[in-house]
Amino acid sequence: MKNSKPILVLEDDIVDAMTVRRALKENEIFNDVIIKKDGEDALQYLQDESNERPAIILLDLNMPRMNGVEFLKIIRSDERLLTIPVVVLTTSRSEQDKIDTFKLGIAGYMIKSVNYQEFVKIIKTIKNYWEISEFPESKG
Amino acid sequence: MKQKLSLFFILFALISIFLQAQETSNSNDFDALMQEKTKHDSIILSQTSPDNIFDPNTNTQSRVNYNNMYRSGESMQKTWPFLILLIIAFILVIVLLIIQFSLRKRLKTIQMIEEKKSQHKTRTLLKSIETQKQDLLRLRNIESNYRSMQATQEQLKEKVKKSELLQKAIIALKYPVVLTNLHGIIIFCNLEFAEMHGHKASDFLGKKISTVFPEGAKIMNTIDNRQDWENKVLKVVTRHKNGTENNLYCKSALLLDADNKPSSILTTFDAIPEVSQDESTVEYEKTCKEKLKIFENIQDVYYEVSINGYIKEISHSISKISDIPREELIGKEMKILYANDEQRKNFVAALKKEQDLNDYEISLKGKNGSVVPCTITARLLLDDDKMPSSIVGSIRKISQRNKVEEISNKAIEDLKIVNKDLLDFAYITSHDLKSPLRAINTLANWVMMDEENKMSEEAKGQMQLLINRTERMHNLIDAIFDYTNIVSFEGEKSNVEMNKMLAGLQNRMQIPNNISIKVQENIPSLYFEKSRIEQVFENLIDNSIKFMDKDKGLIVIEWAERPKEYEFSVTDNGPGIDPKYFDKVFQIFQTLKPRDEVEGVGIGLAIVRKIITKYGGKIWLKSEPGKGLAVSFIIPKNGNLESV
Repeated sequence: MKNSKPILVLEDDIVDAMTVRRALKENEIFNDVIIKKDGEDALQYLQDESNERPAIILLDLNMPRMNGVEFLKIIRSDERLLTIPVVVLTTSRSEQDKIDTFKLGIAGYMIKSVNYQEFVKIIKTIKNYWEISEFPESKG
Repeated sequence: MKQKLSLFFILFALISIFLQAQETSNSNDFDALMQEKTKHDSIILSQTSPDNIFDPNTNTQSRVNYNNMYRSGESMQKTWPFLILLIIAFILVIVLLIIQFSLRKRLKTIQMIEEKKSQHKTRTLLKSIETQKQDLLRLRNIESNYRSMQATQEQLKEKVKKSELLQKAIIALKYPVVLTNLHGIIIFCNLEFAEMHGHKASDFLGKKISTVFPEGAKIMNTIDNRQDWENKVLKVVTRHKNGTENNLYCKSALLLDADNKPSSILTTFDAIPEVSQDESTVEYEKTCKEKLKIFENIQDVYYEVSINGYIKEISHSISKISDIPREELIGKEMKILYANDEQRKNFVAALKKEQDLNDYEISLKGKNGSVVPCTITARLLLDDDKMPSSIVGSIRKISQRNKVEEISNKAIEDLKIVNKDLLDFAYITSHDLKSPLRAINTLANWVMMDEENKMSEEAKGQMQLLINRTERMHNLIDAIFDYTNIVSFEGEKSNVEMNKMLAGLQNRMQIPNNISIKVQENIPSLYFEKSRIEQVFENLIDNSIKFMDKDKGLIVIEWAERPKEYEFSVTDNGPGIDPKYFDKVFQIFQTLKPRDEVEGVGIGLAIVRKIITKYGGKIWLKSEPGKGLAVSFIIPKNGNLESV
């Protein structure tokens, strides 16, 4: 990707996490991939200032303990984490979920395809978008 | 007393003179004595009346006595003039005493008379003092009376001021009104009252109300039990100045002052309409009959029950509920109608608390021992003392329809809950079922990719089937979600320009080259959820494409306007559907061809129908198998579920 900052992935399913890792690799994205199993784990990582700030967050919505929407609400109220772009990567096709998350300022909403090849294409789209779009320089 | 003392003094002097003379005894003394005696006599004579004791005879006798004494001797001759003198003196004293006595007597009489006179005078004086006292008292009384009268007048003035508003109200009334104090004295009346009697209003002020009509006195005399007359209408007769009679209704009310004490009585009058007896009776009976007819034809049961539970009146319609006829019910206890005594007690308790109740549910004893569920709408009537006097109300049978309504309402409520549960269920399961599917698919894909060289062609084919099946199942799960989502998700409505929307749809759908789509022009805009109407057309066009069996496929989209709705149709020249399957194709997951031949979930038409019916429309099919299929549907104008 554009920089060497890590990619934070919130994903509770091991196979899905593997899929993301593999799809990123297949798309020649070699940034560090940090996988957290739910919102609480991810927040803990983000709030620890010794950790490097992620370049992007790939967010699953259905997770145990703290789900994606709850996680979004918290980082959107945190001045320091506000500017990190978040792409929702979910199985949910619910209109309500789309509305809720876009209101919380996500950069994109991608539906996980059942077909792996499709999924690789999605990650590629994210990569392309990432490379073209400009993002604010992080202060953290 | 002085007189007596002086007489005794004289007497004493004479005696002493006599004793002196005895010692000297010469004739000169005798002469002197004689002279003295004469002198005495003359005094006596001059003092007494002629017929007194010193008449000439007595005088002569005393002279004789003198002579005798003179003759009786020599010593005798010397003393006798003194003796005579003594006797004379003695007589003189007696005479004086007698005179004194008589004088005293006279004085006494005079004194008595004087006393009597003065006594009389005192009495007269006392009497006059008494009268004066009484006069004074009377004056004081008059003064205090005057003062109290002044005070009353002041009070009255104040009251009059306070009642100015009342007076204005009385003036403003078009009915004759009179205001009296508690003694029945008219303190105010309006022009209407005065003119009714041919007088000026001022003529009545200060007069007793009983002079206007005798019943007035009765009202005034029974202030303490005013429930006898207050708010009751009396028929009274008053007289006009010219002698004609006013037949009036009159109604009185006691007015209370700021301290809640009775202050005055307001009486209003209203002329009794002059209708001839016969006419009014006929008219009255007619209205009564009409009213009764209405009363008898009302389905609801109207009733009045005394506060202790006895039926005063009940309408004929009770016969539709109870075996007991109306006539027998009157006078009986209300509770005999109730299926449950407790219910009646609870109802009365609730009514006493609330004063009136609406649609209170009770059960009455029906015919042949059945129980009839009813509702009561009732009101508590209060008497003049604000105490409950009776209950009036209406009873309505809870009809079969109401029951059905109740059941269906409950069913709708239950359904809402079930629906919500189902949606939650669909959402959660779709996610949870899809995850493992996706994992299977992904892992199979990796095996295929990584081990491509090691796998036989057969194994590769089976792996591909595995992948396909996971995808199919994924689609089925999505279909369930989409289908349930139609009900659960309510998007925003907007004006959808149909021609524009359909053009966009065609671009997005990648229509095969052998199929052409013709869209009728000038389709009116629909006020609808855009994504939903789009889905309807997408699914229909997709079906036509999917099942197209002709080399040159044609899909025609047409519309027509009806008064309250729009009709649309999507017609193709494909294989069509045998009418016997019309019902089946609208069911979820029903397909007419094996999924392996035509990959499809079997949800397209089910979703279309779901959307159309959700917004109050209707959908139907027309087909000639082999020649094509026409799917037609209507959408109410404004596409609004609420308006249906």
